[in-house]
Amino acid sequence: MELNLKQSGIVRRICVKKWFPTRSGLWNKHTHEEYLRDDISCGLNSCADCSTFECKLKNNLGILCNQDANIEVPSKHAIIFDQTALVRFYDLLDYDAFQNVVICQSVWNYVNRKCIMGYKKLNTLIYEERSPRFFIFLNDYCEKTARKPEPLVATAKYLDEHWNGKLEPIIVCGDEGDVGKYKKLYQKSFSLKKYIEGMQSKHRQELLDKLAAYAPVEEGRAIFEEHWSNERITMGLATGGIKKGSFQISRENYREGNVFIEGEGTQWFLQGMHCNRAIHGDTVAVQLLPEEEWSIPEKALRLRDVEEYNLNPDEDEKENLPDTEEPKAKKRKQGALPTAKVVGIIRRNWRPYCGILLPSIRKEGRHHLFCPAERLIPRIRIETEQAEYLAQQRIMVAIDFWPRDSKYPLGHYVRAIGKIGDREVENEVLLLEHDIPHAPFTEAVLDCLPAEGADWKPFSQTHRVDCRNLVICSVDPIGCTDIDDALHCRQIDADTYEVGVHIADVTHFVRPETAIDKEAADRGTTVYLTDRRIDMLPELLSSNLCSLRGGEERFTFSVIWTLTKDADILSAKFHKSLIKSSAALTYEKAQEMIDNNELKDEVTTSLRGLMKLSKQLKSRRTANGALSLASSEVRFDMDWNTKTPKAVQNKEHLDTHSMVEEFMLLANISVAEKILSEYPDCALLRRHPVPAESSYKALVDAARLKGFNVITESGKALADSLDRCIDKTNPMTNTLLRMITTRCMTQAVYFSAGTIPVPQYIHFGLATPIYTHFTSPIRRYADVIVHRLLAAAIAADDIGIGLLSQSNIQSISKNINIRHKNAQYAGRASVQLTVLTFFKDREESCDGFVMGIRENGVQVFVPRYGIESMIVIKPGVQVDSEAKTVGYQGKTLHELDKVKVRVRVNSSNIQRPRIVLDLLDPMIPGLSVDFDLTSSEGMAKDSL
Amino acid sequence: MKIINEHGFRCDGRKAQQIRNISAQLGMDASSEGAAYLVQGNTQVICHVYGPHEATQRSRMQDDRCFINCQYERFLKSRSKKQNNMKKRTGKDRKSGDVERLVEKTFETAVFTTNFPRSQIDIHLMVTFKEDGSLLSTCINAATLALCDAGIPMKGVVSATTCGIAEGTVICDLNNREENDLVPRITLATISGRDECVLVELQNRVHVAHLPNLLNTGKAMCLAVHECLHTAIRDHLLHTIPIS
Repeated sequence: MELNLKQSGIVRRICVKKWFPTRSGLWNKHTHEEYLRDDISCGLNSCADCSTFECKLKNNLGILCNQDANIEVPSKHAIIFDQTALVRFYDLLDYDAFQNVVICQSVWNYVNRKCIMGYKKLNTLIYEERSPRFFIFLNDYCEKTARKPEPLVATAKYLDEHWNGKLEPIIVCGDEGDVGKYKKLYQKSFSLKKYIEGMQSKHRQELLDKLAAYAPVEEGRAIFEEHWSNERITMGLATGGIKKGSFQISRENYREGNVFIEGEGTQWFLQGMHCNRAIHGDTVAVQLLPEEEWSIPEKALRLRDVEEYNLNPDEDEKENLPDTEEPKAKKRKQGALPTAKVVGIIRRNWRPYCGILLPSIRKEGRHHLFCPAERLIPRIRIETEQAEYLAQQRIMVAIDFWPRDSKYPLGHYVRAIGKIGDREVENEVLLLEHDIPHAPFTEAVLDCLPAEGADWKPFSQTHRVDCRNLVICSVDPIGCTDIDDALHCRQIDADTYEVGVHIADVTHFVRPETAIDKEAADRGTTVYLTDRRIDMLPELLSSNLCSLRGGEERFTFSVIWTLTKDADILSAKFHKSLIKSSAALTYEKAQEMIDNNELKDEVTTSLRGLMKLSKQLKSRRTANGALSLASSEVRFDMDWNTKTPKAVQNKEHLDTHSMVEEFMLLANISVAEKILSEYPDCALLRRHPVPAESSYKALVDAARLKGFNVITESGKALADSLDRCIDKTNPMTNTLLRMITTRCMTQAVYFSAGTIPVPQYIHFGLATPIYTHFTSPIRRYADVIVHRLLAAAIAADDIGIGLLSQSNIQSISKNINIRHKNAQYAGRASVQLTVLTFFKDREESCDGFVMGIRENGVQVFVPRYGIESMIVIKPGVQVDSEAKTVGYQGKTLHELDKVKVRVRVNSSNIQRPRIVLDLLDPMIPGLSVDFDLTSSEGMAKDSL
Repeated sequence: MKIINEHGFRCDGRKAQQIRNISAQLGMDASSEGAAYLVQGNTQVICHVYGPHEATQRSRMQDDRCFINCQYERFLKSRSKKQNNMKKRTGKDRKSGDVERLVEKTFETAVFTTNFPRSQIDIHLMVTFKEDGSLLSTCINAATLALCDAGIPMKGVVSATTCGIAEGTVICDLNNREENDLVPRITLATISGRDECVLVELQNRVHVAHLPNLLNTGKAMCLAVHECLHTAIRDHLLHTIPIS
C-alpha cells in the first residue's frame, strides 16, 4: 500500500542500488532512494507552467535574444554545454557571446568532481553574480529526464518539446569526436569550435584563440620520449629504480638543469633532451643514466634571448631552429656528474606567465611564440590572430600541455596587462611575476585600525613602563617614514651604561586572528621597488601610529641592557613601554652631531655613548668570525613627480650605519635567546646554514688566479683570509671577492625551533649560535610573531591561538621565506628596470670588471649600476675556459680584470630594449666596439 | 557532501521539508494481538504487539497500571555463504537499548495504562539490518499502528518524525546519507498531531536560537505523518470484516 507518494512536486520514487567491495572481497549493497519531481522549472522566461515553480534561479532564459547571433543556429536558441566543454573551456563562460546557457545538473556535478576551478567559475557566475545568461536545469530530479542513458540528449529532447519552438535547445560539446555521437541522437548538436566560428560577436576571434590551444595536433615526429604511466612511476619510486625531485633549470644554460632529489639532499644533472618537457619548478621522476653516459655541464652560456630571437614558429620548427643539434654528450671526462633523465612528471608547477609575444616573420601567421619574462621558462607556443595588437602589449599566457612532437609547450592567451614600456605596466608585471600581493588593503583590514585622529592610547596598561623621561632618538636614512627603531644610552656610573633599543609595538595594533593580521601574514614583508613601496601594513600604521617620530608619544617594545664599558652584557630586560622620541635623525645628521665637538646636549652624549659601545661590539663580532660581505646594491635618486631616475645615489658608509646595525643585532640576539629559552619548541628563529666546503670552489678559483689563498675551513678563517686579499693596484678586487663569497652561500631562512638539531640553529654570516628578527615589525611579519612570542614570555600579552604551535610557526616561516625571497628578487628586478629607463637616452663609459669567462663570452660587471652583462666572443678569439683567459694577438684578459666599458641601451628592438656593454679598453678585436656588433648582440641584462 | 545543495534540493531530490514515502500494512500476522509493517523511505520496521497479559517480569509489575516492555531486534544477513539465511543478531548494543527505553516511555504516556493493572504489553520491533535513517521515529510509528491493530486504548495515534538543521534550514525526515553528517537532529512524537509532545530526543548539539524553529517544524511534520498513519488505519478498518 503506497500511501504518501504524491507530495507536492514529487511524482515518482526510485531506488538506486550501488555495490561496494568490502575488505574481505565481498560486495556490500547500498540502496538509496531518489524522488523524481514534476516541478522542475525549465527556465524559459515566458513559460507560464514553470513560472509557478519554486526555484533558486530566476527563469531568465529567453530574456536576452540571440536570434541571428550565430550563423550555425539562426533561430533563438539555448545552449546546453556538455561536460568536456565546461571542464576544458570554463574560461570562455565569461564572454557574453554565450547567451541563454543551460547547465545541466549532471554536467554541474561532473564538473564539481573533476575540475574544481571550473566549478568555482560556474558557481561564481551563476549563484554569486547571478548572471542572467545562465540557468541550471535540474535534469537528475526532473521526472522526464532523470536516469536516462544520455542525460543531455534527454534534456534537449524534453526542453525542445516543452518549449515548442519558443526557444530551441542545442547541444554544444567540447570534443570534436563527440559531435557524431550526439548528432545521431539529437540533430541540433555542434562542436564548440563550430559554434564559435558561426558567431557574429566581436569576441569571436578572441574566443577562437582561447580555443585554439586545444586543437588536436597532427601526429608529427615525436621529439621527446614518452612519459611513463603513473603506475609505473609509483612502482619505480617504491622499488628505488627512479627518484623524485624538483627540477631546476640552470641559470646559465637553458638546456641544462638539475634535479634536487627529495629527502636525500643530492642533485642529479640533466642535459638537453633528457629534460624531457620538464619545466622549471616541476616535480619530476628521474632515472639515473649508466655511468658511461654521465657528462659535465658545458662551459658556455646559453640564453634563449640571443639564440632564438627572430625565428618563425609558423614554419616547421625542426628545420629553422638554430640550435637543433644536440649538445654533444661529452665523452666521459674527469669529474663527470651523476647524470639522469626525466621519465615522468609527477606534478606540474605551472602558473600564468607574464611576457611578450615574439615578432613573427610572417605577419599573417596564426602561430606565435610567447616569451615569458621569467627566463627559466621556455617559450610557449600560442595561436592568435590578433598578434599585431598583442605585440605591443605585455600579456599573460597559461600553459596547457606539452605534446611529444612539439619543441615548445602549447598555451593560450589569458589577458593583456598593458602597453609595453609603460612604467606602471612594467611594475605590474614585476609584481605579478614575483607573486607579490599588491592590491589595496580591503575594508575589513582597514576596519581593524583605530580611526584616524582617534585617541588610540588605552588608559592604563599595567605591563607598560613609562619611558618618556628617557632621551631617546632614532637614526634612519633620509626620507624614511616607517621608523621602527629608536635608541637610548645613559651612563650609570664610570663603568656601566644603560642602553635601550625601542621597537615600535606593532602587535598592540595588529591583534592575532584579525583581518589585518591575516593580510600581513600573507604579505610577509614590505616590498621596496625603486619608485614604489608595497606596504605590509596599512599606511596609518606604518607611517604614523607605529612610526617612532620625533616628539610624539608612541608605544614600543623595549630591550634594555646594562653594559660594561667593554660592552659586556650584565643584564638584559624586556618590557613594553611608552616613549617620546627626542629626535628623529638621519645617519648623516647623527654623524655630524657626533663629530661636532661643541655639541654637549643629551642627545649627542647619548649618541657618543652608543658609538663607543658599538665599536666594541663590532670588534668582538669580527673576532668571532662574522663575515662582512658585499652585494651589488644600487640606489637611485628619483624624480618623484615623473617617477624617472635622476642619478645613482652614492652610497657612503658612515659609522652611524654600523652603530645602529650593531645594536639591532644585539637586540635580535638577546630576544632570540629569551624566546628560545622560554619556548624551545616553537620559537621563530633565523638561521644561515654553514656552506658546504665544495660550494666555495668559485671563490677559491677566482682568488687563486689573483694570487690569493682563501681558507674556507671555518667562518673565522674565511673572514680573515678575505681581509688579506688586498690588491694594491685594484682596490675593487676585495669587494669583488666578497661578492663572489656571497654568491657561494645559501640564503638565511626563518624556521621554528625544534624542527632541526640545535647546532644547525647557527647564523653563519653573523657568527652567532642563534638569531632572530625582532627589530622591524612594521616591514617584516617574522618580527610580529617574535614580538608576540616575547610578549607571551614576559606575560605582557595573551598567548594567541596557534602562537605556540610548532607546525603553525613552521608554516608561517615557510611562507615568509618565500615572500622574503620574492621581495628581494622583485627589488632587484625593479633596479634593473630603472637602469634601463636611466640609460634610455644616454651612454656612459664606466669601469667594469670581468666576472667570468665562458667559451662564448665574457661576463662583465659594472658596480656603479649593478649591471652584469655578457659580451659575446666572435670565433677566432682564443678562449681558455680552464685558465679563464681570453687572448688575442698577445693581449689577454683575465678574470677580475678591470676593463672600461660603454653602457648603452640597445633599442633596435622596440619591444625589448636591453642594456648592452661595449668593451672600450683593453681593445680586443672580436670583443671591442670596432667589431661589427649587429651580428652578435650582447646578452640581455634583464635576464641575468 | 552538502545536505542542501546549491540548487536548494536535498541529495535524494526532496525539498527541505518534505517527508519520505510512507507505506504501511496492518494486521498481517494472526499469531500476535496486533501487527504492523511500516516502510518510511527505505527504513523498514515490523512490529508485533502481545498483550496486555499478566506481567511476567515481576519486578516491573505495578499494582495500579500496566507497563510496556519493548524489544528491539535487527536482522543480520549472514556473512558466510553456507548459511545464507537471515539470522538474528544476538546481544544488544547501546543504540537498541536506547530505542527500547524511548519507545517504552513514549507509549506509557500514550496508552491508558490504568485500564490494565498488574499486567504488561509487549512490543517487538524488528528492523532490517540496512536501515535508512530516522530509525526511532519509524519504530514509534510502527508501534502505534500495531497497538491500534491490537485494539489497545490510547489517548490518540502517536506520530513521530526526525528533523535536523543544516545551514540554518530545518530539514525533515532524514535519510541515512544525511544522518551520516553530524547535523543536530531531534526526534519528536506528538499525540494525534496535537501540540503536545510525548517524546523529545536530541542528538548532537543545536544552538538554542534554532530550537523554537526546529520544534515548530517538527510538530508540523508530526501532523503530516499523523495524517498518513490515520489514513493507513482507516483503510485497514474498511477492509476488515467486523465481528458482528
